[in-house]
Amino acid sequence: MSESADDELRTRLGRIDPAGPDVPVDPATSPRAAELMERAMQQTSTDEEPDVDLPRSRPGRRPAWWAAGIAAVAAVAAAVFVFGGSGSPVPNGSPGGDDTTTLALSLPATPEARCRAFDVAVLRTMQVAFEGTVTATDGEQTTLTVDRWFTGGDADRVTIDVPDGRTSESLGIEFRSGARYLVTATDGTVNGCGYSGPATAELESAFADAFPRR
Amino acid sequence: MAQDVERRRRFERLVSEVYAPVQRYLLRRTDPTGADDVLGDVLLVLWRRLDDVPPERPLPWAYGVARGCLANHLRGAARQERLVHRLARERPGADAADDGRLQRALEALPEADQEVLRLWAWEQLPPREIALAMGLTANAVSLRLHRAKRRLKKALTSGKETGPAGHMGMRDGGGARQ
Repeated sequence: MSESADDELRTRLGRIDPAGPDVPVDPATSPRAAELMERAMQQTSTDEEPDVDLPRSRPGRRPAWWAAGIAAVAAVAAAVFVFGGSGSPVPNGSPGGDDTTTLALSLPATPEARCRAFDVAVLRTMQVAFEGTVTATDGEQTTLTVDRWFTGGDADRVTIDVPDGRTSESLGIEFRSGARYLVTATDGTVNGCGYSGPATAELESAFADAFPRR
Repeated sequence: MAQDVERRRRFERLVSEVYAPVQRYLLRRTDPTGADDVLGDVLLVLWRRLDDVPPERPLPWAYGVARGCLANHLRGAARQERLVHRLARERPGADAADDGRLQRALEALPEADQEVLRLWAWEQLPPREIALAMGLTANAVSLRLHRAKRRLKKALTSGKETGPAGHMGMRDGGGARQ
């Protein structure tokens, strides 16, 4: 993709910007800004703080690949890590770059026992939990790009193998390319029973409750 | 006491830096009344979490806070969808050059891809700062941005040949978000 094509796309997107530079906004020196600032500084009880999923202070500054690998392997004994290329600790940002790390999971080989009622307290105990977007799926394997790790890993990508004779539908999940999912796993095996599934608002909310950012 | 004064000064410096751009961020994603409500929440979180603000990149971090506060405000997908459509309708002639194609193509992308593109094109952030704002890895952002640009360009190109109906096939990822 050429730089000039990117520039052109950015310019065109700029034309549909609803609040571009020509749209006036309230300056930081305005009475309204002073009022909002004063109101914020008057708040003393943490109970009144909006419940917000805060950004991490250092995204992308991940631990060295081996440290991430050791931590994740400790958490997920049965998972297999595949490090492509040299395993550089700094993402190079190039799509499909050599430093992409992959966590391999699988669906259960046998049908699950009866599901217990979904409980955030149980979700909290999961060894692996992440949000990802399916980039490829066929009858044998589904690959997701990780959008966010909640716990148990730091890989960029996760593959989920489908054992012979099983399908993801039998777990109550239909993986579709381009769609986002919240996935949990224990001992390298993806959990069903509502603990993995499409990233609906409800499941997002449950994951946010189970794995607060701080 | 001296500590309080110093903290207030730090907060005022931060607000002077992020107040206008965060307003634009919110006005791009919700109506003016909602933007004003959420702005108050953002300032409250920034005050409380002043020590967490990365000094080298306060703005993308503040965008991340705004994103979280806005998500709370827009809780409920139906409300969000109504709003997106209303904002699109209320944007007078902005997309005239593209005959609405670009807007439709953008909205047909998965929500996270749309946000990556908006942060790139409108907030003018590099991938590393988009990662900070969205809580993703820089690698994931680069991949997403690359894919989203490609899809958008493809949609625009095919749209010229097939007309607006040609965009419908783009909605491959939207179904995951209820």
